[in-house]
Amino acid sequence: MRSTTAFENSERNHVLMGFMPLINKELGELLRPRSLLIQLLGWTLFLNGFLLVTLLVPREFVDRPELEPAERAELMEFISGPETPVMVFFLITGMAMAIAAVVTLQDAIIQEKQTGTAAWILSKPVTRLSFIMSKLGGHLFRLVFIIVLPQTLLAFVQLRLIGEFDINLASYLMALPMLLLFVLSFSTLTLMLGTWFESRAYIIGIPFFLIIAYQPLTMMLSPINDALPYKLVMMSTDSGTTLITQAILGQPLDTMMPLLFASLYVSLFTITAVLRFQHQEL
Amino acid sequence: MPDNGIIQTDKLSKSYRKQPVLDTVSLSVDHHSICGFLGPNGAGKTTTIKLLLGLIKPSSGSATIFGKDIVRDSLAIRQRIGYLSQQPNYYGHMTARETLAFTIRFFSRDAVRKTDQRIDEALELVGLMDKADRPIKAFSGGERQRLGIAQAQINQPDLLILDEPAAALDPLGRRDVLDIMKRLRERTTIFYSTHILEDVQRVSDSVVILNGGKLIAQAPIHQLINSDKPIYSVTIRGNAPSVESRLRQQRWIDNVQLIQQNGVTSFDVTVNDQSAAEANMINTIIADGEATVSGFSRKQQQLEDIFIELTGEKSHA
Repeated sequence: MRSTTAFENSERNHVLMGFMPLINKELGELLRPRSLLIQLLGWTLFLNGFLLVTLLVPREFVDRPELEPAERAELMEFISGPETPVMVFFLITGMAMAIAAVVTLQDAIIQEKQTGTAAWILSKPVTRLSFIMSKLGGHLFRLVFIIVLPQTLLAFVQLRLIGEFDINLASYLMALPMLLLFVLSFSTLTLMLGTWFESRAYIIGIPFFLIIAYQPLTMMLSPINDALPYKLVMMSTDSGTTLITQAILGQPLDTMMPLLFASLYVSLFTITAVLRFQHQEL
Repeated sequence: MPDNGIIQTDKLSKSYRKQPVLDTVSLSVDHHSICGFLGPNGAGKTTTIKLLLGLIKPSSGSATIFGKDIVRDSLAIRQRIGYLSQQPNYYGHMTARETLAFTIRFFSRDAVRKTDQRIDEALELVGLMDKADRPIKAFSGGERQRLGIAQAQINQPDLLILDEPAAALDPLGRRDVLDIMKRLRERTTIFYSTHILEDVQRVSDSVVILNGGKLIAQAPIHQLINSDKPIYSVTIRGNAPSVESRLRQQRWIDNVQLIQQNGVTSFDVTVNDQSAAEANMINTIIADGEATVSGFSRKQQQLEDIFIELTGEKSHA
């Protein structure tokens, strides 16, 4: 059978050959209405629900008549400012997002390798860089537009209206890349491990350990804590809050080092994943 | 390395931990031919195909497709080929139509109307039009295989590489796949691996046989089947030992094999001079009057016989 349609081969060789169909596929999967709704609702209920509880319950807790006046005053001082709810919200958000990123990205490479879809895609005129970048691009899109922006913007409204805190929107928005950078440290690590290992135990286990065991880890590695990403959203600096909290509240940052190191890790993990995947046998 | 093949390999080798799985294979596949790629399990067929597609890299040796190097020019090569893997697996949530639309985007930025037409043609070709809008996860193995062929040829490739295209199919499905291959040969070269030797004999122009990672035969199929030394099958009644002894004395005979089955005696006689054999064989057999000939024919060798002879293995057909 000879096709009646003339075939126009318009693509020419370039390093991101095949990227557009791949990223469209990734976004198409993310934007399927049912999946999108479930993700948006799930994340909003969990994260913003948690913030709501943080904002409401402590007042009731402090108003309990059985508390001594001194005790009440101390608690009031603790919850009256925006530091605690902001810090707790971003700690929970950062941790939950990092875990979700590991879970979703661990499949990105290894499942496609194991089922043979990676070999199928790469038998087409597609570069391996495009393949990796489409995975990362889809992940980034999901992080920014499905998890970070909707929930953190709603959190801003909650903090302003329910918490009645005077938080500047510009500072708030400027601080959000720190959350992204923190999560990307773990997601790019997962992506890199996916190109190294065939076993999911390593690909999930290593990042999970780094997220969940952050307290004993930071205690053990205290001299190099500034070279780890935890201070961005999970671990307090010398002034008692996380760096993202300081940025949101317009305070000077205690240190820039975690920011610089996290950027370095994200770049390093991504480059390693790309280089490793270039030589991977499928 | 000869320069007339669409695929040319020159001492192509692949080793894993110093264990060779493909050992200095030099093969050639002609333009506009259907080439059957045979070999027992573990012979190195899929490894060769993966090397040609750039999915793995050779340990040594080289290969070209369309005259381009498979390592250096892999992207340019992949623009002109279609590939069906041994166990085709696609994104289960996509429909057949979406899978083809996704595939065609790697090759073309034609208008939607034009690509839709191409997709319809491909679905028609493989008989999946009625299932075009069902998710693939509900497809049977045979339907998946058909979709695999559709996606492999959606870009109208100059070369189709099919890894066991009929392996998962029932006899009717196999027949359909062979028909599709025959139709596609008008515009493309087909290089396909298979275990089903009967199919190879039906549709292929040439065969390449691998065993233990080594190339052991490569020839047009008619040449392989009709070898230089024809074999004649003769059925006799009478004194078989005396006939055998007389036959063995003839200079135009290379080999005599006595076969006795169900009370019938026959000989497979391999000759080196076809004219002499046809002129003298019956007279030689009946010369002493102690035997008569009840059957005489030239034996048509089957590919399976040759395959078994070369590899020492029985096919899965």
